[in-house]
Amino acid sequence: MFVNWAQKEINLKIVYYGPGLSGKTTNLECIYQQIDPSLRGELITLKTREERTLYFDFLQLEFGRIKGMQPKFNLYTIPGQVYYAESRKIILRGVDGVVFVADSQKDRMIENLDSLLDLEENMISQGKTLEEFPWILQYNKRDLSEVYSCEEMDKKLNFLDVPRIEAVAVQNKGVVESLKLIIQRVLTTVQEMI
Amino acid sequence: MELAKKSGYQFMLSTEAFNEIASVLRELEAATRAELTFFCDANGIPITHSGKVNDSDLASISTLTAANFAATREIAKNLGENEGFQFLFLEGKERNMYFGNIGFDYLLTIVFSKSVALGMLRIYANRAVKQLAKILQQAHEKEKASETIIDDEFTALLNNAIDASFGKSH
Repeated sequence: MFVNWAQKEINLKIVYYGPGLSGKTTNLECIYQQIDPSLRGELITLKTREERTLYFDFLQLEFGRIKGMQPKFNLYTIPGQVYYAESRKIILRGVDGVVFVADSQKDRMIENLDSLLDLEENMISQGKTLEEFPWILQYNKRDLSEVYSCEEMDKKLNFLDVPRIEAVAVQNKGVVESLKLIIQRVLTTVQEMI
Repeated sequence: MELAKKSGYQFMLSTEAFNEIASVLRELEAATRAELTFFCDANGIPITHSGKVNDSDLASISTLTAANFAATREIAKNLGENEGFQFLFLEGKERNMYFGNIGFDYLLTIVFSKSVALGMLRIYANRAVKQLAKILQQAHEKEKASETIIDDEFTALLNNAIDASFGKSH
């Protein structure tokens, strides 16, 4: 969290984490399309020629003035591909909350687990742990046929019993709910810390 | 020097420090006849600027600047330049950009016309980077994080505002 007293701004950073092609960019695109345009900045995407996220996607949201302060939420995605490990470390610096976008398809579970482990390692390197940090799970692609049930997903991924939301990001399902939930978690954590 | 690590999770920039930073930027803009000078953190969050630019454009430029600098830091590491590159220069047809790295946590960016001598700009930019580093160092040392900004009322009001922004269907 970065507070600029002179500008009366509170900046909070939320990162969408998860394996490649799990739907992180789709989450941001969906938020961009659904929110009142006067409250958002441009959606910045740095993509490769193959339309994969190269470095990150970025979207800033504002919700007016609250008690004289202007909260700004800076949403980032990470590049999910394994070989962009350094980029992920940089993007996680100063993060206030994480939405882990998991792919519900059975053949993608190993990638989910690898990415979750990668997240945990990167958090530890920042002196944080997943037990104490505000994060949620989003089980995406629930519309596909070969998917694990939510209970099975819980057993495999939700070992810390964090809040989880079912989603079909391409149909705008579960996306705004995930954003609201992580914002609540972040605010609660910040309140406890101050 | 990594300033942000010292205060960890949060940083509250005082109005006093903000005004000092804004003053350095205004002086730099005047001395170099820059079109725009801006100061952001390593995440690309704009802190203040001097010159004409709208907020939306500034947020985009700041984010991309921070990404650009982060990428060059990795390049530097791969080349064995472990302290990273302190300054970057981009040359365009009409205007140039000069970036200064302040303790890996903040960035100073100057957009200036091709007619401005690069040597002169470098002198003023280096001076400004040193001034900003000193201001930030003091700001981090003096920082008081005790003031409560986010309380139950704040959270409730924000939740209402978020609901209104997306409509009631969610």
